[in-house]
Amino acid sequence: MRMTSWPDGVPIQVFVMGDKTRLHASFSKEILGVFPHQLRRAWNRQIFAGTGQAPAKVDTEQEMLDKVATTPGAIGYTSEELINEQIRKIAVE
Amino acid sequence: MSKYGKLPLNRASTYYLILLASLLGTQQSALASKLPENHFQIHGFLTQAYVKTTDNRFFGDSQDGSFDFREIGANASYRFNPKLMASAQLLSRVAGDMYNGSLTVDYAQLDYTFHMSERARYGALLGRTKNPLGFYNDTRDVAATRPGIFMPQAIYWDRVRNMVLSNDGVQFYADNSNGLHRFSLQLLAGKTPIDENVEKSYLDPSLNASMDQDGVTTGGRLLYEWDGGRLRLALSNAMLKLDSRTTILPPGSIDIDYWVLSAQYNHGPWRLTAEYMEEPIDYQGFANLLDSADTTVDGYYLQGDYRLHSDWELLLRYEQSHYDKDDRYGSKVSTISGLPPYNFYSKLWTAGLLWEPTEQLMLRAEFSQVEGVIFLSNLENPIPSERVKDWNLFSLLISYSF
Repeated sequence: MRMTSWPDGVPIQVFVMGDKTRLHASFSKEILGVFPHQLRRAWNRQIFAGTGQAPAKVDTEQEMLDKVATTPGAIGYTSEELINEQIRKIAVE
Repeated sequence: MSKYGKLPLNRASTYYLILLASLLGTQQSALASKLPENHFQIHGFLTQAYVKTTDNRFFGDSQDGSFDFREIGANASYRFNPKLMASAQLLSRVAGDMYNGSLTVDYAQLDYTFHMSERARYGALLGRTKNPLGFYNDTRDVAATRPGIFMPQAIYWDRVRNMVLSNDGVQFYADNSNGLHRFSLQLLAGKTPIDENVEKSYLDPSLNASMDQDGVTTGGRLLYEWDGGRLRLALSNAMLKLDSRTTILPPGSIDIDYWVLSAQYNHGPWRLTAEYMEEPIDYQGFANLLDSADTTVDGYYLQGDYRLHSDWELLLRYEQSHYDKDDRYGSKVSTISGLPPYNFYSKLWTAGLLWEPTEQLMLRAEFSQVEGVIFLSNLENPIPSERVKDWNLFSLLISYSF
């Protein structure tokens, strides 16, 4: 939420799934190290003070893949090896 | 990124998390100027509470059960480009006899980032901005972000909320991250919208005071976060001078200096928070008749939250407020004023339960045992002899935000 563009100036577009999805819970806890409700509160503190905007929400993993593949500067996560040539996989630790 | 509460990856797990990044944009410079699809956003909230007290009035006729605590807000934000964003929020707040629900501009600001990199971000906000005091002041009216049905009154007084709520002026921010450490500094200068609640709190209501700000409010917050917020420490301040005219006394002014020290520790399902407030008040002029009223108000709270389950949370809070930090239980000031000592301090124990069945919906139930009445509004409890020392407070809240 703090950086709004990549170093080359392309706006960052973050995609997430719903708080209750298993994938989002895993992403929050295992990658970010916080619970989904803590992440949501941190977003809300910015959204309702006017200092930040909410990430875009997707409903399915396929939608996540499609959106990340077709949106410039997009970032997201998935659970499966559904990677194609339009998406780059980023190693986590 | 934070590592607190991080769980070891389950090797036997049948799925893996993979972070994805689009290859578009970084290669196609023609698309570089394209804005994210949600660069225009609208958000809002609707909160209704029920307040029941055994004695005293808090957010309306609470002895009979009051629904006069309602918050409705809506905001819009538009990002012109990665460095420039405009945002504004309208708020209607009903809070007993303190606020009648009339529509106010909560904030309306332009946010320009001068510099942005992985490690640092510097910029400025221009317009009406929320005052970053303590951990919670800037979103104090949004139930989804505050630490209970009511803000801890020891720090975030409802009876004088406008004094520290927002500023019409400028605010600078600087963010620096280095490994596990993050420093965030905000500095502000501007006019504070003063209202009747402030006028009736800093001078006795019988004086019919009207106040105007002399000069500007200055203040800010320095926040340190370790390990993505596992530990958070902050020092905040707001300083202002109020020129006051009354129907009885010669004119004078009141210097207010508001300091808040904040600390929070997050670990797995636990969150421990402590904040301390000190507020020296200096009465000048008034033909020296109010010199003896100079005081330093202080207060603190300690709160523990425990996430029971993904949707449920428990809270326990203790807070204490004193009209004079050197006369904590009001014995001296009671002799001078003729009012019983419990008018000059408060002690509260609060236990509460939170349920968040969906991302948008929140329900809370809380019970408080209270001794003292210092945080009660003079507008709601004008007759000192009717104020009761020992009382209980029960409240329910439902809030929807999107």
